[in-house]
Amino acid sequence: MQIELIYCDKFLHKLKGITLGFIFTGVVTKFQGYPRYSCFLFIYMKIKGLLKLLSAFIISIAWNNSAQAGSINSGLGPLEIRPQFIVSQPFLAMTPENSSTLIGGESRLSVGLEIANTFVNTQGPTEQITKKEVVRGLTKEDFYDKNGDVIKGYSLYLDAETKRKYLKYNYGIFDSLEFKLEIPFLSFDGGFMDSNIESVHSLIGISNFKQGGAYRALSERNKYDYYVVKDGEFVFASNQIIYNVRGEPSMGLKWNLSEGGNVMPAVTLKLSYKFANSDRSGEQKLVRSGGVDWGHYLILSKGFDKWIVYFGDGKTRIGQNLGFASSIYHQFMSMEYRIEEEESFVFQTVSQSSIFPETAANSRSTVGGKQEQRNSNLSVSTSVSAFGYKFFSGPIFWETGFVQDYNNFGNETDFVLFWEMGVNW
Amino acid sequence: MVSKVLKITFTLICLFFHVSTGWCVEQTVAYFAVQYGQQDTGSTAPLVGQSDSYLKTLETKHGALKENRQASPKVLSFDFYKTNGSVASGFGLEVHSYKKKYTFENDSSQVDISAVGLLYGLNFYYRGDFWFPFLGFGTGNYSAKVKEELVTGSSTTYGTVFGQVDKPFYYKFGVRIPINGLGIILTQQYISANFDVSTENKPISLGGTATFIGLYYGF
Repeated sequence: MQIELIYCDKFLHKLKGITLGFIFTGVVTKFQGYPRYSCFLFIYMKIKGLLKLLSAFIISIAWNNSAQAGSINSGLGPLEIRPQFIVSQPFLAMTPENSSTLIGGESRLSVGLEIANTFVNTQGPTEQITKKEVVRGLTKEDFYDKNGDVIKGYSLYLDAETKRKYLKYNYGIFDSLEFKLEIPFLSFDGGFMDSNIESVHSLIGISNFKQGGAYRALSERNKYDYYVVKDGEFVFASNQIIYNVRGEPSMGLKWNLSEGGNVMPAVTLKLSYKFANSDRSGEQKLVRSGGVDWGHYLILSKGFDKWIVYFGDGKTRIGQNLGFASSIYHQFMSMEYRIEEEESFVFQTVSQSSIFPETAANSRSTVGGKQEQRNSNLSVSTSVSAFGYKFFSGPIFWETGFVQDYNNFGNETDFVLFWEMGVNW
Repeated sequence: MVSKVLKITFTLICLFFHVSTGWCVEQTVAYFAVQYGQQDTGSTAPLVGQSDSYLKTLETKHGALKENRQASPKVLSFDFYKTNGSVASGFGLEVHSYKKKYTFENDSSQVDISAVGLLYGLNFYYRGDFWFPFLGFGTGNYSAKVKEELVTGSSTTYGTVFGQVDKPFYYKFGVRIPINGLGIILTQQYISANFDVSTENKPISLGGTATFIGLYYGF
């Protein structure tokens, strides 16, 4: 056996008091004259200064032996990105997924990062909340109307970047039944994208002083403020940055009912369940609901040669809704173009009902643009479009892309970047 | 002179219409199209549409509408097909957008409506010699903004309602006339998309019956 090439790289993922380390090694060898490609992934954990090599995941799989998802009606799958709106972060949300499952006995371990920039200022039109009020510290009176009267329904001042990191493990129980376990870690801070978003707005002629630009120019860039007011009382009021707070874990089952054929689409039912963690003290109340949530997605997919189309329709039931919506409806449509067997571009649209339920806010007024009338629209469904790239290289899996809202009524993210990387064995 | 023009015209027609019609047995084709036309939002889509009542309710208070219910949408679409001999099945994505302003006979009240529909669905077509008839159906979503300025006596009330129709339904049929890679597309489309306007708690139709003509590019 002759070793032709060795590639080795390392990256660290720091959580609260814990450092996860990943060492990736790729080896190209010649065995009896034939090239053989192998890769190894070592995962280790360092807890508060002590290096503990827990792992274990030493994966050595020949390139051409790795199981590759896909049939005539499924490819690499839709972009697996959940709704990222900051208010919905503590709750379960169904994500689009491939109609195909891992084959029996196959595993996938992946890590992901989703960065979402959100800016909403329902007091923007009247300039009741600007840089000055934010520096002074917001009070609930800042969310009253110009006459000092309490506003019915919800009022928001959201200036945040959420970073949702997660560790995900999938396992094929049978050839058509897949299990999933996911643990999220959330950070809320001021982020880095504000100036870029404002520049893009300016470039395409949207004023950051007006509704189209979400009144971003009234506020400082890259600051963190998270205020949600309902009927004049705070639901959330936070300007303290949080880092890597563990959210509630979730598990799921995905059952591929049919792979379809030349005429019929593939049909898959996905069920998800979020565990409850009743510890909501301090900053944890921003990332945990404390209740059990569960949901389903019915996914159909149909292949047209290099093009694969996916549809999904589902619902999330929220156990402990904290005064928000008790259920959220989701639909998605995804178009995948398979450049190669292991490489795809994906365009996706996702619609979902609002996390804000309908309130007694009046949608008409005798004063144009009155806050209550404006805010009644927060309960409207929203839609986003996403574009991404998926790539398999032997056992290594990579997904990246971005999400952009196209009918944001103050209840959706502005822009999301996401990555996921994993390994199959 | 006339004879020369006729000969040149005939030669050009032959060049455009008789170029490479030898389709392979199985292939994938994609089309981009730009279309423009008329959409009667007051006409209920046969079989799937439901009548609306938002504007009728306003008419009882502010008088008859001065305008008809015709809107003029612009449509951008992208379709791909897997062909098998002379038949093909595929998927299409289309974006419709239009604006419409309504005023009333009895006072200066007005309602502005803007709508954007993102529709997608399955399409099927037959490859004839000179024209490709097609039909399709699907769903998607419509997002809309209804801006009211309603006058009652000496007072004016304002309302701006944003909203989304989550599950519209459409079906369509039409024909593509290929001229080399380019071509002409004619579409007759029926859309059911009723949007509930919360100020009156009454639905308004964003869909209806539409006729479009446009150009497409196939590759």
